[in-house]
Amino acid sequence: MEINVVQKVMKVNDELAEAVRKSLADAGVLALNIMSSPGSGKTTLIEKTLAALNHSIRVGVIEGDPETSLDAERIAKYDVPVTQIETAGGCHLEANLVQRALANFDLPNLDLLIIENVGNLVCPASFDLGEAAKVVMVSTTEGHDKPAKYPNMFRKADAIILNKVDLMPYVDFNFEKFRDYVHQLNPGAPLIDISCVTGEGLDAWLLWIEERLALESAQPVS
Amino acid sequence: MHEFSLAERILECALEVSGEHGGAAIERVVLEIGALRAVVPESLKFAFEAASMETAAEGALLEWREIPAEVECRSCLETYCPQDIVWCCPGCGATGGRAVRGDELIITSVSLSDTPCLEGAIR
Repeated sequence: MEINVVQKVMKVNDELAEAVRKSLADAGVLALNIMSSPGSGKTTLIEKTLAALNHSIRVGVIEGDPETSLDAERIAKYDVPVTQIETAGGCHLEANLVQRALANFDLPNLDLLIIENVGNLVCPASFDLGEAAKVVMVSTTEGHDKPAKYPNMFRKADAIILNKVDLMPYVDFNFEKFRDYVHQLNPGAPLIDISCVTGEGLDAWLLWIEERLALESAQPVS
Repeated sequence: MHEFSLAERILECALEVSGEHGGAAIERVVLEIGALRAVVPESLKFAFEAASMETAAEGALLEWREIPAEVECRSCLETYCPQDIVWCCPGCGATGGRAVRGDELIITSVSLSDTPCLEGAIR
């Protein structure tokens, strides 16, 4: 007996993501989903962002990792609410994990929620978390070919960050090729070059966040 | 390996259908997998076989039809099937665009056995 069903396999995740999106919108919180390979500098970027904002914007952070609460411990030093999600080996965050983590935050008292996804350039791209924008980060030490090798991730990004530009003279990284790949895959996304060590480009990143915050607050709350 | 969590979702959907039909054993699950879904069908099949052990879907065949990608050009709004990782419109040459097809991950049918599965085999 063959039963026609036509069920979206992602239905449960997508419904939870919509619920997360609504909770965040109702509370006026902008959520950013930051994705990259392990070691490209997501946590450091969040630390630099928190230091630069110096509590001028109320920020909460969700840290995703397969194991340990090491990143949450780093973020907690900045005196902001932070929750660590341990995926127990899972290679990406899903909306149910984010929804559960939201219970740890006083959302009306936040402006910005930064979600650091599990370090991985493949799986996180497939799961909507209810975020307002996806940010993909790559670092010069990883090589300029990452956008070409992982196009799905880069196509879906609302902003693309190139970190560790201070190391560019010392590594095999062809910036023109990288920029061309990024522009060909996603002509609409801004490419922000930064160094978390020297602070170069961080202003552009903070400006982008400010613009997104302004956009978010201009959206009517449903 | 997001295929493992996707396999869990597929199994849940299939077991729900089985539950609606008296817990009948699941013989086959048919999917549509879009080319842009970043799913490796063979990995999904392996994960599904592992996840479905000791359930009404144990031993069920997982079959799939691949759905090609189709993109709407951001410039001239023509739709086309991209031939490369860089989506380049064959009409106007603009890159980028919006995927209108190829992101599917859908269960289209579940085949159930006419004989109910063993008691206790429904998870």
